[in-house]
Amino acid sequence: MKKRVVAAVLAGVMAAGLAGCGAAAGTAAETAASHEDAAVSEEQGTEEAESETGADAAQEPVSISFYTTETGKDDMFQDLIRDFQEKNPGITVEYIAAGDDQLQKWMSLYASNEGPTVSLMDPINIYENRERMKDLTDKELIANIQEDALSTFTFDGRIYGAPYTAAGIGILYNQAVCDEAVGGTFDPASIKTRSDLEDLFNKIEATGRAGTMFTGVNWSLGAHYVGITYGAANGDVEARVQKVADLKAGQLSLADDEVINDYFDTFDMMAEHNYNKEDPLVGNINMDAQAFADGAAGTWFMGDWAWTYLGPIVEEGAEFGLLPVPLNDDPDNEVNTLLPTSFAKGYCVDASQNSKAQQAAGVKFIQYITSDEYAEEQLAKIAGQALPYKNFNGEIESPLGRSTASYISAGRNYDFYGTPDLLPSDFWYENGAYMCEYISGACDRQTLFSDMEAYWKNIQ
Amino acid sequence: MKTHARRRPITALQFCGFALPSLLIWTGVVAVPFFYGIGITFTDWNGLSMHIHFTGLQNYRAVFGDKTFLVSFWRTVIYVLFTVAASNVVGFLLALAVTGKIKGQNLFRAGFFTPNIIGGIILGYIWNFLFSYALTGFGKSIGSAWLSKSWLTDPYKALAALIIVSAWQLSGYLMVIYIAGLTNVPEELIEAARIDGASAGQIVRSVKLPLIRESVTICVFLSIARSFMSYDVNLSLTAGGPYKSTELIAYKIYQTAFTNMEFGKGQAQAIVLFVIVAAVSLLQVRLTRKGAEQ
Amino acid sequence: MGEKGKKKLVVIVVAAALVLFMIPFYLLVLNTFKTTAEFTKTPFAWPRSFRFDNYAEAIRRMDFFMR
Repeated sequence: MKKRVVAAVLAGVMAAGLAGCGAAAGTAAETAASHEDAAVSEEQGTEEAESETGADAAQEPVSISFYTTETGKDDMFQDLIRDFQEKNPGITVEYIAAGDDQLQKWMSLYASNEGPTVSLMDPINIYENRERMKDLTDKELIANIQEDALSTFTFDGRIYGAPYTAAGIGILYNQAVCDEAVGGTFDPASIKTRSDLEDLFNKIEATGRAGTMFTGVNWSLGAHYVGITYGAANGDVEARVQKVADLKAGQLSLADDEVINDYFDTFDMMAEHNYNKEDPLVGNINMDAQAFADGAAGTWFMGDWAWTYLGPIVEEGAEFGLLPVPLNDDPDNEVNTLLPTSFAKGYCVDASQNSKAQQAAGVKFIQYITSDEYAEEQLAKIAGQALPYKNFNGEIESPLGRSTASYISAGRNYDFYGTPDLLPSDFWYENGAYMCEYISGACDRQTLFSDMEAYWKNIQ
Repeated sequence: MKTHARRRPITALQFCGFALPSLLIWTGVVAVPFFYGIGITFTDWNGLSMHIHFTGLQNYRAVFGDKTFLVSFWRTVIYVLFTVAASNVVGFLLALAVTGKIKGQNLFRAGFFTPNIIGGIILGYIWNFLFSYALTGFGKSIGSAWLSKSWLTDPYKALAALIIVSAWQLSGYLMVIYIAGLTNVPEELIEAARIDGASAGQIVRSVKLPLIRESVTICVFLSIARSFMSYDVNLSLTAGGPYKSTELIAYKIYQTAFTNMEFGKGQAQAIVLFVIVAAVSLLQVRLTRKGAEQ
Repeated sequence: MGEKGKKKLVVIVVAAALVLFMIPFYLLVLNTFKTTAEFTKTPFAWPRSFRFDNYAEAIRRMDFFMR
């Protein structure tokens, strides 16, 4: 009898737990055993007694971890780690690749007390967790970074991250297709207004191809296209910050905002010529890259990182470049021809779960990856983007990266974000969904704007 | 004279001893995170922050006040109803077919069970490709407007797609349980019914179905619990799209906790879901047991 | 229809069901032998040539043999 009772109790408890264990324990299990207290190392902030050259660090073997959120570049990073380890015997770097969900993986690493020593994250993630990060302001490596690339990682006057690459966001164009369309050599500088762009699309369509293409995914439309509407067209950084503040306070009605309406007039025009017009949400970066490479669409709203997908499938010597998204028809409005560039990712060093020796090794690693010749060479080749490092003299193989670099060197670009915390970390997810509704015609502009306003008002 | 084999009765202590390893594992992997999670629901933790503050029942209030959570919950209920119905009907029919002593029986059984072996993530990606490109390509070539647009870009069709894929995956598993139930139906009863002139349909309705009541209970219980917690297929097939219209409850909870970084609130949603599913499951078992006793 | 005939009908129906059930697997396995470009263009077609590149790449990436 007794064992029956015991059996029943055990079975009952297990059954009850099993029914809900999927959801409940699933989420809880993510934050497994050791959760952190406020036992924060007071080792952050100013670090006086630290040897920059890391002579001490090199003596004792130290092992650190490196977490990246750049997908498709694992081979490159592992190669750089191998090279770094050769040049720095005594330091071992464990590579942690990004999975599908970048933020969740990072959170679970911290929850299990394995916060990565060095992480390559979006500026907003570094900003939201700056209390964990090491202050890099006085480190040697900062001197090698171009000044304008540092503002995205400067919070309250201290620098917490080093930029990865400079990414250009805009309309990619296929030189060959555009040449055929204009009947000569297509010059991107000739596109100064929305009408110029529409004209180009019509010409491309006259040759039997689609004028442009949108990949109907939440990050492209929500983070990038909508992000541009918070950019330089609104004025300087203070003006942009003010706009966001007004939205959070519910004091700005987007319907009355000229900048966003202009950009959406351009969006509507582009959507008319969208290669994926029949089914705008079917979008997939691989399929669209294929279509763009094949010339089925003459242009593509994307960024220069698309080279990761285009590089392997385009013909040898095919030329491509970037165009800014024009907001209106005013040929004297400079913003129409400025390319938004973003330092979308940066390296940071964790000081909350890594020892001083590990932090020092982490700083060395960042110094390596932002100034070593071999590292820069590999980054330029595989990431194919412009590098904001003063000692970089290398060749960028990607025509898209070269295009971005030419805008930067001509001073014809502006910082996409302006500040690290302009847009919250779930901005792309929420607004991306609204944009998908809009592009597929499931909602109109009024609803879209009121959804966006509601999003801002709900942010704490 | 009967002789019993001498057996030392097993004590309650020995019984516990055998159960202990599993109990320890279960405690560590299920019970501890579960209670830890409940603790988190009373705080404002965002999942990463080094600071945690006690906030009482605020998260639970937020859960019930959140319209999107309730919408997602009802959407999941609809999904569960259709998936449970479809997978059980298909599973049962398949089981009937492959217990009829036809040729190639074992091959069929293995074949229908295969979708269940492959993980939900991979299945979702295959079907995603099917719906997005393969079917649309086929639709375009035969000029069918209805098939030319991907099912995954329309909220209702995408939910239908989710139901189809889940039922497809689950029916093989349920088929196996139904097979076990059907093979336990005594041959004599079926023979007797046949001699009395019953048609195949009548045999199924009056002889087989009533006698596999146990299997039906188990299958419905399993399919309800599994579909409520469905996440992997949701992620790979639709990722909650188009525009978050097919976010089932587990996916919604995940997004709240990790993408929106409202860990306490997400955990509270998970606890609420647990209570509801546990109640529904236990109720369902109770009702079907009662029915069987009649 | 006699017993045997009925059984044959059931076999045919079940076989058809199995084929339908297996289409996703057919697609999956078949496309593992194609290059990305080929499978985006002609997903249902028989592979032009059976390439094992994808398998080699997958094994390498998964560190399957833990070299």
